[in-house]
Amino acid sequence: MPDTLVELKGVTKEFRNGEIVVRALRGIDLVIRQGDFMALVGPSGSGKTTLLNLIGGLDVATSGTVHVFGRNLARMSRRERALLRLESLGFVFQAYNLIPVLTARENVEFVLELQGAPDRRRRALDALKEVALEAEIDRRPSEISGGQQQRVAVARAVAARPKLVLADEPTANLDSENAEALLKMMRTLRDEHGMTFLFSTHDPLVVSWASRVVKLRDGRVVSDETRDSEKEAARDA
Amino acid sequence: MRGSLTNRYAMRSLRRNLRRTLLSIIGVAIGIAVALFMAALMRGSDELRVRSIVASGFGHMRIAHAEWEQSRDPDLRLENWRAERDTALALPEVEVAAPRARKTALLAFGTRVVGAELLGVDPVAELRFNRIAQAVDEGRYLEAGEEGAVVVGATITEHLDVELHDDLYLTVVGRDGQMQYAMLRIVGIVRTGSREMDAGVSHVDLGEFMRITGYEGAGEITVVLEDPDEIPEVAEALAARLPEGDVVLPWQVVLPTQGADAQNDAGFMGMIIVIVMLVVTLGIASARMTAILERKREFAVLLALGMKGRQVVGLVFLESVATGALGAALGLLLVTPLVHYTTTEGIDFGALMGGDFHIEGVLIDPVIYSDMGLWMIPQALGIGLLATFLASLYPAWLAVRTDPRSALSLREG
Ligand SMILES: Nc1ncnc2c1ncn2[C@@H]1O[C@H](COP(=O)(O)OP(=O)(O)OP(=O)(O)O)[C@@H](O)[C@H]1O
Ligand SMILES: [Mg+2]
Repeated sequence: MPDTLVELKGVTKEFRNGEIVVRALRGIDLVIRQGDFMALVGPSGSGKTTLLNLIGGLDVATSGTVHVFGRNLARMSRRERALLRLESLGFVFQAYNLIPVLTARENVEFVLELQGAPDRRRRALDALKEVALEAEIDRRPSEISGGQQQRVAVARAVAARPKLVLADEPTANLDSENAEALLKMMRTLRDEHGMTFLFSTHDPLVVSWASRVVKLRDGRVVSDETRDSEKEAARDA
Repeated sequence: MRGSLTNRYAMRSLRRNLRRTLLSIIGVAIGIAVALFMAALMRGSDELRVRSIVASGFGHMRIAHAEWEQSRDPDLRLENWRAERDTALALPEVEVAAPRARKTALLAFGTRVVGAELLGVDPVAELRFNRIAQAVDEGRYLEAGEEGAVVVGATITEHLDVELHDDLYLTVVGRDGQMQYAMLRIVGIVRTGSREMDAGVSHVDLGEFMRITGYEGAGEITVVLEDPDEIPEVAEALAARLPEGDVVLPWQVVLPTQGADAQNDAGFMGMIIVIVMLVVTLGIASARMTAILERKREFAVLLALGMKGRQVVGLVFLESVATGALGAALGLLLVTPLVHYTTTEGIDFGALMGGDFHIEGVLIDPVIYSDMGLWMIPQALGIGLLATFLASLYPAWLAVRTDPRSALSLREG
């Protein structure tokens, strides 16, 4: 039985806008294990982003419990959750969201600096090599393509070797070629470093690469399908 | 944590909207230049005031009888004036300690009579600091222990129609209440440049003063320091060494009008600086706020990645501090030639004040020189940094308050 990284029990989330109450999540039970390469799918408004926000400690559940690495997020302060994100979680956002005034290498290094990690320069370079960007390290985001920017974002997310990487529609702005390359790199990172990935996506390509696909509808899990490793291996070949 | 990348990040963010940053820096610079120019002039006039007061014979402070401040009675005496003078002189900061005594008197020549305040002095001490004693235009000043000699102002000689070496007939009320008389030869005539000032000058040796009036001792000891900044310390040290019943009064107490003037000037200066700071602060605040709001998404990402609120605040302040410091530097650059000009050439307020100018017996020079100095650097930095610091409080709060959820969703993007 692989390690449980994330465990959600009876999680609901409501957004209140004056009189109107939006029930974004309506009772989610979900376990994410180490090594999952997991796609969260479902129609727009089904609650994917909301779920990622809860797991990342960027928001708190209305009811139910969210345990990340065995810790109950509801019992942690804002500050503690920020520290958890900084030290153990990686984020890849849909719109690349790099810092525009820093170069590719500096973008990666900056997060390592925030962590107070040692040997930052080398680790930033290593991470950029893993996403095949060694030639672009001194370019700013505006000087590289969207696909390359998203690879920098992945390098930034994984440079500190987090246990879990959360990615909200990471391929939404990429063509299929770039998307495929990105997915391949993330898969390699999972295989080599045992990292766990959780994507929200509408992209069939991401789904085809996933080892597990969880489908949401109206804030509920409607299917949870794990592909056996043989099938994965066969498709890889 | 102030890593090198944080600095680089801050500086590049400032450079990213160069025009806005430059406008902010220029705004800070102009504000600081105005404040520094005013402050330099004010300090210059303050310094001039103190110098004028000292040179007009009042010194930086005075040893007086405890009752003098209330009654201003010139007949009060310092019992141990010699010992007190020596005590003052023993302090290394004290340059001159001049014992004096005063008494209202009548000076007569033939049928003409004028009233004057007779001043008994130690001629050697007076000559070292008193501009009136130094302003002898005809003849000479008194010599130590000189008998039968007087130095008078030119206005007195005109009223009495006398010349150098004429003998004046002096009348005072003595200690016993009886009229006392003396013949005094004019050995020197003083011209200060102010006719009114000259009307009040009649100096005799302190020993002679005691003989004529019958009052023993000195009524006051005027103390002059090498460095006027040491007035409070010396006053305290001196007061502690004086016998009971005698006190040390700084010039602000001896000349209350001048003291109040100096205080008003300082208050006015403080107000100008506060107004300048306010204008600069509001200007920078609006520019900083726009800059932060433009980067809301950036801050959301940083917060989502786990940057601490403290670090985000630090980043915003770092950018502001750089703006403030550069503004201060530019402000100094702008104002230095101006201050230098007014320090060397001065500004002549003579026409404004109408001829010679004196208050409470203090000759005031109508040309005011600015005070240029190293004090301008901390002052400029202080105003620049404080203004930009205040201007960053709200923008920093806005940055920290950014919802990190907006990094993930495009909803607020
Ligand atoms: N901050 C918020 N305030 C109000 N309603 C919200 C908020 N965030 C999400 N919602 C609502 O919650 C529901 C789920 O939204 P969510 O963003 O999680 O959907 P999603 O599955 O990520 O959709 P998409 O595929 O379009 O990104 C939607 O109805 C949305 O309008
Ligand atoms: Mg979404």
